[in-house]
Amino acid sequence: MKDALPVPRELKAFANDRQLCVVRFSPCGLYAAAGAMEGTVRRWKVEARTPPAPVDPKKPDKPPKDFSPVELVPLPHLRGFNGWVQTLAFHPKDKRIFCADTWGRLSAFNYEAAEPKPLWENAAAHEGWIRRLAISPDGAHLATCGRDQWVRIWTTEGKLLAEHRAEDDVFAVTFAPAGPIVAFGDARGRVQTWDFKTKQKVREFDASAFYKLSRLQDVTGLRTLTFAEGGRSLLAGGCEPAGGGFLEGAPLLMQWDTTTGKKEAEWRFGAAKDGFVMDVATHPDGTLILATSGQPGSGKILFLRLGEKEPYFAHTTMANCHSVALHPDGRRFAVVSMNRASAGNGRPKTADGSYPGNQSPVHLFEIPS
Amino acid sequence: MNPLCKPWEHAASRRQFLGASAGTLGGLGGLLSAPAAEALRAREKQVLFVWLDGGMSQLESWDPKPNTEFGGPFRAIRTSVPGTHFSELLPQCAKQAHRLCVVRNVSTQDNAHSSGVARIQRGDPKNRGVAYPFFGSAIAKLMGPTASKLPPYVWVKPGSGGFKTEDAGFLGPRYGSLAFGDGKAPEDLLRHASITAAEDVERNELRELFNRRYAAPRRPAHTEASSFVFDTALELMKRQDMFDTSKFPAKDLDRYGRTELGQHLLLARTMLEAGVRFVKVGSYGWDTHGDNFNAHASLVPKFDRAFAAVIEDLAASGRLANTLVIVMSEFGRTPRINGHAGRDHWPEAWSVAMAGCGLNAGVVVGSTTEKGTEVKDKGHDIGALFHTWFRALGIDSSKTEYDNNGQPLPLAHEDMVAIKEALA
Repeated sequence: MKDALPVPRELKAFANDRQLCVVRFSPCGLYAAAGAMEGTVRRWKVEARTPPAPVDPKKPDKPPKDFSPVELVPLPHLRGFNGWVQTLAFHPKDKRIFCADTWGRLSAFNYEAAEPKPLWENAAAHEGWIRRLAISPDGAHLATCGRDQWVRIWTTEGKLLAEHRAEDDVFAVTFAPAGPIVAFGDARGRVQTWDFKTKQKVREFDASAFYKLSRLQDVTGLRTLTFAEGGRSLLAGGCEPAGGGFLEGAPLLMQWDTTTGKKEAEWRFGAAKDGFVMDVATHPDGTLILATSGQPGSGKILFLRLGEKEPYFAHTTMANCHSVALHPDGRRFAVVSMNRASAGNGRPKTADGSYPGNQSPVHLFEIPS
Repeated sequence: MNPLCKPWEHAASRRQFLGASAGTLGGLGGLLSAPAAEALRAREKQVLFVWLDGGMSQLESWDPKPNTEFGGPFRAIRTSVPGTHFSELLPQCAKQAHRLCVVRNVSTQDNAHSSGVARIQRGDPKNRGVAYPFFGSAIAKLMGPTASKLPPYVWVKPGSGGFKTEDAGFLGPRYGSLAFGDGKAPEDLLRHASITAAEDVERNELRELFNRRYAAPRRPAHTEASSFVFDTALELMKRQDMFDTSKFPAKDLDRYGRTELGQHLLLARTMLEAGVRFVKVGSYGWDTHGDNFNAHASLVPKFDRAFAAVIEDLAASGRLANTLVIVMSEFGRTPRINGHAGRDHWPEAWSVAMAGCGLNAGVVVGSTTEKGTEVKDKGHDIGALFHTWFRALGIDSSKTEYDNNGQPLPLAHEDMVAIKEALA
């Protein structure tokens, strides 16, 4: 087995005035975008910085405390969305970004445009909440899934190609590395692969550990699906719910063989307060970078190699890690987390009597060479 | 005469007649023709009180704030009342909005479950060193059983059942709630097969003898409660059919939803039809500190379906005109969304939905600010809601008092008044 990736170090946390759901880098590596818990997509230019020249070249100064070799420079938001933008995807080859909101809108933008307007949009791509948007590795297709129980396959020009009605609210969808195959999973932990050309189910995977009926509440733990090992295995991330309401449960990752449907491994990362595996990024060397979020204040970034029993690295000082994105150079990654002390009953006591909302910093990390 | 009330309150009100004669109306019914007795029963005021324990989010239900900072992911939808919108999670209730009265500017004092649940259900009166009764116990005392003689205050709830005396506060244990755990009849409700009806009568006579001996040296409140349980059990034995969910029509089960809350609200409707004065239906699991939006996406539609069905049925049968329907929690949920995508406890600005007798229909009372963080104007505390409910049931809470062993006590917070806009 290859050597493990070096332990990452945080370069800088970039503040935001709103809560964010998801962050991704463009394939060119020069842009980043994040969907917000409001009808916007935040954009940044990813810019390299060099440390300021020392006053005395013989006595090089330490860089300023807030210096980062990479900066996220804010750009105008993408607008025109409603509710939240919980999911987005960059085209792997051109300059388009695709975004979906919780009111059913699916849109495409040029992510480099200074004042971007939608290239196309479909305000009724789904009836309500679009939970996940994925783009095929060849850039030819989009897949969306939603609370309306539909999984839909689109061209990247927005034409509907195929659709499948699942048995319940669909929480996750992803493309296989090759072929007309998507994997999706619903609220009750029913995961399957589906051929969108033949419109036939390929295989089922038992992810019922992600579901629990707690009193009246159907508690859904599934959050993300990812193919790994070139499509040989399928990974599902989320929570093994212990109960609703507070929603306690341990972060859970399951791995199946895509050919046989047999479960190969599962990992639980912590205690009931630790919640969900919210997002997974796969490093080119195969290492999984997992973002977890649980009770307010609980959050981790974990480095896990398939075949090993537990993560070899855990970063635990960020609160509520909702999303992780790997930069295409494989040396940096971004994490959407949450300010600390985000919870509290009743009106928080602020000096000026205001009622501030919570905010999601974007943390930029570097994986040393 | 009802010993709770001031004499001037009893000037030929219908409530007085019904209340004072509650113990004998069953017998009176025997003197009336069957249709007349039924008509009389149908006019008796009743209450359906739906308690969503833990706190339903006002923003994901009655007071949506879409596309605002704290508005969440959901849309607002039109209702049957032009200009009024509910969350998209309430599509069936939206069709019943013309029958509802939603108070959107409820503002209460307690953000803890441990104290808030009781504080809200007791009406949060001024502290006089006594435990006030829950609303159901208050109605059991003030209005008594209906002519059906069925227990006046029942509670259909998940989990355990039994006689819940703590609800009654200073009124004494007799006015507690009879709880049907998981909507089931009390165990051993039926007479054992080995005992004949005649033997049962003899056994009860013996029990009553022992009761009288036991009660003689004791405070009446405790012994009354014991006798009351037996008396009401006898009436329940006659109506065991109410609990037989296998006899509920499949169509109704589908309309109400084949969920715990759906079945319990269907049972509640059956109990109201049978003549129970006050039916409380409890639902647990609404304390959504984590994953609030997916939780509400699961919980609210189940409530929506069942609640809209019971409103529709009560209206169709004409019972809604005499039934006060209330749905509420101990508080709402914070506008601010925490790191676990949850909402916490928020008594500052939340909503209570009501319908039925004595209330305006198709109205929204009060409002909250654009982001839902404050009530506009003054807001209404739970004391004002208690006054409103009493008034809706024909009880003038500004003049009627409890008599707690000689201590006069107001029915509800005396510094508050009924919400005029809510009352018909």
